[in-house]
Amino acid sequence: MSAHPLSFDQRVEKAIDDPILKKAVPFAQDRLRGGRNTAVEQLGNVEEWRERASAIRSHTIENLDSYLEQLANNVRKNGGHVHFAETAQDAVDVVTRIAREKNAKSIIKSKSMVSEEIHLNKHLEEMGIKVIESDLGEYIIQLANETPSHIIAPAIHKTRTEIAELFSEVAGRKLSEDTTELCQFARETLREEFLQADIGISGCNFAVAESGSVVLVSNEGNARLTTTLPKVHIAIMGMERLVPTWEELDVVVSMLTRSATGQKISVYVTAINSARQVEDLDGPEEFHLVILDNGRSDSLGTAYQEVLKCIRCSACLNVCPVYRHIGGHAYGGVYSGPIGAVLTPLLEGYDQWEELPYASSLCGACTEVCPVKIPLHDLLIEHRKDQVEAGRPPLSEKLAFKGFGFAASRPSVYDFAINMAHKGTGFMAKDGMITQGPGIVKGWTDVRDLPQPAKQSFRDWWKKEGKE
Amino acid sequence: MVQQEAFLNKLAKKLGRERRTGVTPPQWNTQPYAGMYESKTKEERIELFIQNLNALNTEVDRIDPKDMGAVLEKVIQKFNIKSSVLWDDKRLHDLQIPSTFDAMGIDHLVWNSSIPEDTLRETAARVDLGVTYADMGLAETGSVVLFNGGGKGRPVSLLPPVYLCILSEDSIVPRLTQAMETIQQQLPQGLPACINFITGPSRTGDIEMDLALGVHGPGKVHVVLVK
Amino acid sequence: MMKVSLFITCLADVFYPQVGKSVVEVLRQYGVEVDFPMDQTCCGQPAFNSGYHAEAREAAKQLIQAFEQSERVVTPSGSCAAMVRHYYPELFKQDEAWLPRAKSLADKTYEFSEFMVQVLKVKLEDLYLPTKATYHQSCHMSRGLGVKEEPHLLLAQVQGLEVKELPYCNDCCGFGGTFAAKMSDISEKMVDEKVKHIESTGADVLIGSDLGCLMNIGGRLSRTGKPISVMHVAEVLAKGGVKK
Repeated sequence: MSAHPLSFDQRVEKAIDDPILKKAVPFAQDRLRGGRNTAVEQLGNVEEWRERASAIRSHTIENLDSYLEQLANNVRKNGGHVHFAETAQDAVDVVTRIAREKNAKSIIKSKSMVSEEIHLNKHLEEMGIKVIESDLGEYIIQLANETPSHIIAPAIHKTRTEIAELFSEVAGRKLSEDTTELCQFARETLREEFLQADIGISGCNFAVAESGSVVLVSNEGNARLTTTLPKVHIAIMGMERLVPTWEELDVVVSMLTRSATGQKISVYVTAINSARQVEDLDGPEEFHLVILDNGRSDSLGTAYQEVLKCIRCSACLNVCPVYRHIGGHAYGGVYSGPIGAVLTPLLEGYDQWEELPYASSLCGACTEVCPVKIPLHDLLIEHRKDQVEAGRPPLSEKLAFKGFGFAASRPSVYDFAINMAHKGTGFMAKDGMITQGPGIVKGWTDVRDLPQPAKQSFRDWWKKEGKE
Repeated sequence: MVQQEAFLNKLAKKLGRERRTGVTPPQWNTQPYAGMYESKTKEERIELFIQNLNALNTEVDRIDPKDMGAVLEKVIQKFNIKSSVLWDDKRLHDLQIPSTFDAMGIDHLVWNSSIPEDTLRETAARVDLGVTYADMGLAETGSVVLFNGGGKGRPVSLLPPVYLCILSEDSIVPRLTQAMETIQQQLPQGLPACINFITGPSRTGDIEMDLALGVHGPGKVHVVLVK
Repeated sequence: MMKVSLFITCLADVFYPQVGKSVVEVLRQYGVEVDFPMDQTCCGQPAFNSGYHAEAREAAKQLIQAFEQSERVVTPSGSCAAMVRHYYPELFKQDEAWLPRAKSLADKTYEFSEFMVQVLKVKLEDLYLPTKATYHQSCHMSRGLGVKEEPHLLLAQVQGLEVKELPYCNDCCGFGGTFAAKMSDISEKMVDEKVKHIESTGADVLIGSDLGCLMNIGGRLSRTGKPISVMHVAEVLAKGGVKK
């Protein structure tokens, strides 16, 4: 995995005053979270749904080996091919091998975060294969040579002006900024690509173990086209994205679409149960399922196992106040927002991603909306704890907290410190406010005033007069 | 297969236990959706189905089978249809849809094995309208459920810009739950290659969250409920 | 007579002693006997949230000991109450000796408004404070403790006090403990948005239940020269003591 060219601070600096993000991200957040709130209110018993969805996901993860085995057996029974990929490279190897065997010239893709995770497009393009993203948002950012800035709305950071420019370049003529015209252009252009593509690659929202099915949720219909028109269909799934039976699928699909966009159901829910069958006159002749680990199994048996329950709805992004102000790219990884801050360091380690767990005020908005009850903000604290235990934070911080622990467990020391606070800060304060502080206080006073510690602490007042 | 075993053994090891096999889900004692629609009458379910589709820019006609011709006339006019592709489905034949199209001069093709696949595909990509019969409708969402396969080709409901779906009003069930039960009942006989749940027209918000219809699938959908 | 021990919290102790005094005054007014165990220090949340759990445990043990004899503990902070109630049992889940003691403190600790409404079930009388205000709902109190309505139930009983609804009231103000200093540029945007919403209500006073949030928002209001003051719910109840 190549390092991000910018540091976390640089990425934040770049994003935070970006005039486009400032408008687009809160706008998208408000729409999506508003929709989500309405949709879950309609249920009337959302807590019961969340409990069930969480229980389903926990049970599946706890028995992942059994359900994956059942899934693989059923896919094979239905005539499909199953590939277990331990690493990103393994998955890339499987796909490139199939592409080579089929002598593929062009590949059409429907949205797949896992394929982003393994940088599949880059590898296929290096082989000289034309790879086209068909989800409108993904298509836009592919043309712009960018990465998704939101899990379900990958191009929210692009304006219609930018999109019109990108499309005009492909069209070889000037297109207007009208949404309908731009969409019509995308429909026609991508339809041609669909009809020509040799292979369709999709992600997998949920696999169903009992029937060997791959279920795809989409609004545009590109996932249907991807799994209908090319002769070969390859679905790539994170190994945790399955449910035992259709009964459980009901609950997780219902929660996914409501939490993601506020829809009671997406326009299309498509279950692929096999390649085309004998009597069929359409559909792929071959079906491949790639099941990817890529570091996920390291979370099993740890506090982070919970994160494998994630169904990628992005509700946590849509309520996150940090995401609201920095957008998705500042996180730097494939997954952004609270789930990205938890997941990215797990998949790729702390060396490159040590700041992410600190990019949160721990307000808990993410945990509150998570449809499968992942304690996201608690897992951010868990990451901080693990970094402390690994000795990663700077010495100054370690010493500060050592001192804190010392004082907080010794009332006399603590008492002394509290009662010295006013005097000790006298030189910094003016009219009861500190406007320029040293050390860690500087970060605070860069933005806001700090009241000077009171002349008499509460405890001193109590001792002298408060007891009555 | 060695690879699969190694993969699964690793998971068991990380989970800190022996390999498991043949696990089944627990018996869920309650269902969060129980009671959501149980008290609703058939008529209420049908109304809900229609309401939901209307909210998605989709018109629903509720008709007697004998009025099918008139509805087709209306659909043809409304969407300016000149050509069509249809499922080779007894239920559509019973409603005399191909013969009505003949009478109306609508160029149409029925999806069956007497026609070369390339022709089927090219036709579906070219015509104005796709027509299918759905096996179920879901009241809660306004979804139609298609069990594709054989003469029931998936491109019919996907490639043309306008999609007409016909279903019996007796097949309107409360929600996804009943569809899942139906699918589970079919498991022993095997499932078709593809099952689709379709809820209104294809949509996207990827350009500045501005809603646009028909970016990939049909942007116009019309549903007919037959008594 | 009901007996209560006050857990003052570091921020109130050092920066806002008047909030502590208000709590004492209000509780006494409603017939509660208040004491203040001098051995209390900090709940340990700054260390806990930063991942220094050994240090957080040291602080927690001190707090548990300090309040071991108390019948009930009341604190003017939703955040610190959430720390004790929610995370103390977590911190000691592997420690057989301390776990029951941690749980015992967790079970008897209440945030101020929560205590007033749920335990004391007070009906406020003769309160009058002619002010236009809005209320900041703090994250740890509403989400961590699940206490949302209680402050509003109290404030609604204060005559003359008009509490305007705050737009985006569920959104964090950007405090987040060390986050405010460590990621100050992001925190700045968050607090600025909060200030914008507060201003939009036309309120003269921002009322809250967590001094971390109030210090953050108040500090930004002061820095940007906005004439809006901040008050804790307990101060409102103490100040509004005179009916005209």
